[in-house]
Amino acid sequence: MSVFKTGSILTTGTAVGNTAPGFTITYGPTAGVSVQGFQIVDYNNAPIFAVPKASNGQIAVYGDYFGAYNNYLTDIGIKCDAKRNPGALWMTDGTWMGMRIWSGTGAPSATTVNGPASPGDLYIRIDTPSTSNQRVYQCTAGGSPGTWTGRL
Amino acid sequence: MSLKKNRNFASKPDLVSTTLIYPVTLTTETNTTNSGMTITTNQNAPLGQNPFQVQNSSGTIKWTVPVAGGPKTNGTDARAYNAAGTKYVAFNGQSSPQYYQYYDGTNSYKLWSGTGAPSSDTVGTAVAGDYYMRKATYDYPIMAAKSVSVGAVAANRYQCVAPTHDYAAAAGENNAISYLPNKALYSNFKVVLATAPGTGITRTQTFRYNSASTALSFTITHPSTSGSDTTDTVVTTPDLTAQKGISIAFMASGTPAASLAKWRILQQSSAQHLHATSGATSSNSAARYMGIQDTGVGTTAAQAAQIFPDTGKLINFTATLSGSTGSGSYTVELYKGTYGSETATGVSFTLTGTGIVPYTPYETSVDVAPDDSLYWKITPNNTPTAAIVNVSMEYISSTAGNYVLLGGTGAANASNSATNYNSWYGNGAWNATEANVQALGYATTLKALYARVSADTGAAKTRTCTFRINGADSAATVTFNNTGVTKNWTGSVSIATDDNINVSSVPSGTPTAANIRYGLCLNASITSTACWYVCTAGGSPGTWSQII
Repeated sequence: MSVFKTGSILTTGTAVGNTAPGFTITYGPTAGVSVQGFQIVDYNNAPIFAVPKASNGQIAVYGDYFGAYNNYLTDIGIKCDAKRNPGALWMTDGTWMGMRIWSGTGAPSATTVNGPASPGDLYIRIDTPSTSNQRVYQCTAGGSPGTWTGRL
Repeated sequence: MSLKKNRNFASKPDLVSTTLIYPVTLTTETNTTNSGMTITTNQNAPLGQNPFQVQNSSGTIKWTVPVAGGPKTNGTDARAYNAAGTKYVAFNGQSSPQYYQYYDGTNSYKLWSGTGAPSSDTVGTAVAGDYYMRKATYDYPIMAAKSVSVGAVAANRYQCVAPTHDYAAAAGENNAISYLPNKALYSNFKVVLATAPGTGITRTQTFRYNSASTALSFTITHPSTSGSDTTDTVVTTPDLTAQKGISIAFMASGTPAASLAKWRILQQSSAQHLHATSGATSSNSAARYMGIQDTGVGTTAAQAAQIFPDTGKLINFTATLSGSTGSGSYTVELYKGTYGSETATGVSFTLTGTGIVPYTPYETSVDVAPDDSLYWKITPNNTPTAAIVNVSMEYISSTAGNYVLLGGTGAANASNSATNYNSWYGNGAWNATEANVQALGYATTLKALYARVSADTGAAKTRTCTFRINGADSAATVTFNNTGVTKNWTGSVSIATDDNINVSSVPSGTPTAANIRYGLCLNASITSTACWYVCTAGGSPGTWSQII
């Protein structure tokens, strides 16, 4: 088993303006699309995070959030929320009061909004773009899926 | 330095616990599906461990991938670029609050979200064309669950915001703090005394946040018996690293006359907050049980189990302690199910050290339905230093604006021969005097009453449980008549601001001795419906126009 207990890579920065990366993983010329350039797995080899070659180096998170934080120890962050299935975009106002944006085919349902959704959440429906009040829905009562009203 | 292909670092002792000097290049295999580099978390790796992270030269984390919680930036963006690397969409983490950033091909715009109209709290620097999505909020009135003593001595007394419990100064504010599961705005604070303070004496009531007095405060001067603050507001914001709580402080000049006090305050939020506290320190040697909207603990689950009156979800759980547990800890678990057969929901905290546990927003939700029985089980491990246990959560009803108040007591029976009265929620004792348990109402609507007795009445005997307004029965009533231990009423009863409200138990024919638990479902008026704004002129927060 490969064990790399506590390693670190120091970008020395001795050359001012040097923009070379500290650590690079280069896909081999014939690497299959399922090759993970980098991955983190749990002890049972279940993926936590990966950078597969497919889709030109997308990054993948499994059953968790992917987000940007101003201070990840204290604030909530704006996140792709993949704890839900399907996932949602989860906004923030500095607390958990930010809305979620869901999307799917058909009116919001337990299949497309695996909540809890909360009042104010938004659902973008993709299969009826020409039908009024069936393009964008707004959650008016929480739940899975909760109660939704077509707004556009 | 260049590493070729997959390497078994264990075979390279010099690469274990070491620092590599950049640049390092790793080339993946050419004809296999092996990953270029894999980090495997240890079997006992804590969820907060960061298997991979990027820091700057001063050690500040810029990007990290924890075992749980997902990869996250720290003060930086998460961007997805076009192939040329010239344009991107992003989660912008450079400011607080964070926002979604997108391009029209030339310029970038932002999507913000929050409660209330766009403000400096919810919007950073905006430009024309930005959008803001406002969540709905509701007026959840919090009313002292009963008339409570505010003391006859000139000393601060503290009360829990929900449910009400009174503490003398000697007990300290810690006993009375309710912690925050989410952001809220508090306003419209009013107190009514049963007895005026006394000649030359004043009483000052203050809403406290994070153990400090706020502007939401007023003074009652003799001979007045009431006062209010309808102008000031306080926004409370939870903090991941230092939990902040709220309480009510009663202070007096001189030595005021002893008095009961009723009070109410308004909480504006997108979901109801439910608080429970052990009040005093919980046992450090035996399990204790606590309702989910409760003050105090019982020695059995039956004493603590509360009956739920609505359909929805419990979310955003948090738990904390009043102080260090020493070498021991407390485990706090939420139980739910049919009364007497409740099972663990999986919502569980282990509180150690200072006991401050990060919130678990939306990572777990628990479905609840009418007649569900719920309680927290508090289990001490390794004889912790005794501490007060606090838990909070949000309730999202399946019906917009619905909220719940859970009352009665499982620890003491209601009289089986005389009319008794109890506060409309919280773990209150039955009282023969109605005025002692009345709360000060705020305009809202009662929609359901679910009640449960610990033993049925016996043949040809009844016990009637009724919601009362201003000393009179309302239409909200249930009668136990030896046909089952749970009963419910649904309908609509309006409660007006400043109504006196409580619950009664009226036995007939000496029913079997029993305690009574009840849950009330009410409907809050909406503060603001969810709506969308567009920025018409940039600034902080700039000028915004509501479009839907």
